[in-house]
Amino acid sequence: MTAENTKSVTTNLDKSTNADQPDQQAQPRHGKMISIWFFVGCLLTVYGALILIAGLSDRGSSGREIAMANMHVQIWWGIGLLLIGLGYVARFRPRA
Amino acid sequence: MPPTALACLLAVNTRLMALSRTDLLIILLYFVLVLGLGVYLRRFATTSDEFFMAGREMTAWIAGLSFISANLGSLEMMGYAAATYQYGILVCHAYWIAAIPAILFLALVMLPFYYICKTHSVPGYLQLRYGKGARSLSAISFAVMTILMSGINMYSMAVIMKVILGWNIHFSIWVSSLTVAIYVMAGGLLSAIFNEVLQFMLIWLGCLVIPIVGLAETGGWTGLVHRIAERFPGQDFTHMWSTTGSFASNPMGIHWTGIVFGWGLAISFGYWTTDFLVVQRVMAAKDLRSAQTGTIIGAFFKMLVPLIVILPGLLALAVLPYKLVPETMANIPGAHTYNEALPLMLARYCGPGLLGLGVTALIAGFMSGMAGNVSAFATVWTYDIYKPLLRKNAKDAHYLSMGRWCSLLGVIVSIGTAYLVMNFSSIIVYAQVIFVFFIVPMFGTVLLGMLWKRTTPAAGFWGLLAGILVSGGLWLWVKLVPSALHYVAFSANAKDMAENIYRAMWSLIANVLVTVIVSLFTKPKPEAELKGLVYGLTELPSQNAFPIFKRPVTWAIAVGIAFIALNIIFW
Repeated sequence: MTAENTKSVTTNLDKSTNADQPDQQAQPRHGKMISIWFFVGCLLTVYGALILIAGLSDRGSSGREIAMANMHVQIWWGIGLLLIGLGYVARFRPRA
Repeated sequence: MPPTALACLLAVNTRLMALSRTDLLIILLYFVLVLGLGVYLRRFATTSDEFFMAGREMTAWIAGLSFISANLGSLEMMGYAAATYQYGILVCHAYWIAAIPAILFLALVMLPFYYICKTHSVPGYLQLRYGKGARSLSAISFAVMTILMSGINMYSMAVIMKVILGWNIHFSIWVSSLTVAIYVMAGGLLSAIFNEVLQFMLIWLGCLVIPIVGLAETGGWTGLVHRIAERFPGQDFTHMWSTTGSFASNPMGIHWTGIVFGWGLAISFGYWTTDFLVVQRVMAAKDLRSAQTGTIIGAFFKMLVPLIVILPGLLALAVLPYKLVPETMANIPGAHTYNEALPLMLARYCGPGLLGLGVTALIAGFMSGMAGNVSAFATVWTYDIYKPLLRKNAKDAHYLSMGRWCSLLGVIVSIGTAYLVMNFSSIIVYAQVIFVFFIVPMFGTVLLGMLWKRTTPAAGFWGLLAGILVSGGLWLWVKLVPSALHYVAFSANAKDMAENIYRAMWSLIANVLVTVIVSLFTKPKPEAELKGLVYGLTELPSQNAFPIFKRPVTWAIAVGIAFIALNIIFW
């Protein structure tokens, strides 16, 4: 138990440097753990790109009938995901 | 094998939607990421505390999102969308009155006790407060319930993948459960929490398309209400309270007293404050204030969930060119059942790629639901059954490996259960039947234990048992003598959901009565043993040192005001 305590004390000191960004130090004990938000960002970026491409290449030629196709929701959604994803990747990228 | 299951297996060529290559790629990428995360997180789960409690170092946001995500499974999303198609906006009570007050109560009143006594689990609290009897009863019933739920979850996922995508049932069950087994074995609660956060994002981003495009199609909320009234004349699907003055005037056959006391009090408080599956998430927060704030963040998002569950159900009532049918009529060719409401709406608005995202969101919901069940099961089994009853003084590494193997065992038993389950009209109702048996009485026992120091160990055990028996007994009674419904739910009009709600109310009443009466006739624990466990004998940390906007109570009040406003708007 004592070993545990010392460990968390040291990391408490480590994390005090960026205490203003609470989300960034999700797992302080293992200072090196990559934030979950970074992984989320990566996935959303790739998804955004895929959906945007599918949306652009699919206009009007889809086999299935899709209601409200004139809203081009795929394109907007793709762009949105891409932006959110890139934002997360930039903000939570692992720093050495 | 039950006939409905057989029908699903045989109906090979019927499916709702065809996936494009982009859709499949999106689904595949999700599996790759999840497995990769499991492998990556293994190195961070090297002690039993890290494995079972994620090292107790989650921030408020992560704890809160995981807390709400553990509850936002695909099973419940599709179930409640289906129920909305049947009962209308009344189902929204599940998200508001049957959730928000209880979550806020957990955050402000109960969490400090769970957190201060440093227990690993809810049964663990019962052990500290009441001793072995109550703990073993709750631990064993929780373990059984969790595995059962996990099996139901898995089976319904396979059936849904079959219906929507035409995938083989066995393929879905094995691929998803092995993936879950691998990542939970590797990273424990940490893996489960990471996946829940991921699932949270996917579910919102994948399903929010439906309400946005849907409301554009109907011409906003007024257009939606208008269309439903036109298509279903004489029925009111769009009011939450104004139709509950009598049992017969609403589609669910319920009275407002049932909504408030059965649903809002018994079921809701039982689930949100004592179901270890959700409470475990906030117990893993790094300090009490983060745990409380996280819970309130969870409440806020819970309040928004109707956007992606209830609204799609209502939109299905308004825009689908055909009418959906109950599960019992599922084998009529070309018919779509209530449970397909949400996937049907996804397919209606989502082109290639976007559809893959929606399906991934549903798969993610199923898998993280399963992971949640499995990690909670492994914790309760190891700490509350194995450690105290079977092997007391082993090394930490032994319990850690027990946890890993139990995760695998949990998955295997769930698979077994998945092959056994099936026989109810709507998925959600079945889930609630089991849930009401076990979880509702827990609330009375835990709450009386926290707030009344006179409650005795014997009362803790007998109260819990009485609640479970009354609930099970009433269920059996109505099953054997259908006319008994009139006594249990006050009305022969009561639908399944209403019956569950009233049964929960009786169960809680029995639990509280027995607990109080037994307490008065037996010997309480000495006060010295109750320090840190009971109100009045526990020093609760003051939040006054923090600025107002950092105090949990401030945010609880804000959520409370929004909750009241929403109920008035949709009255």
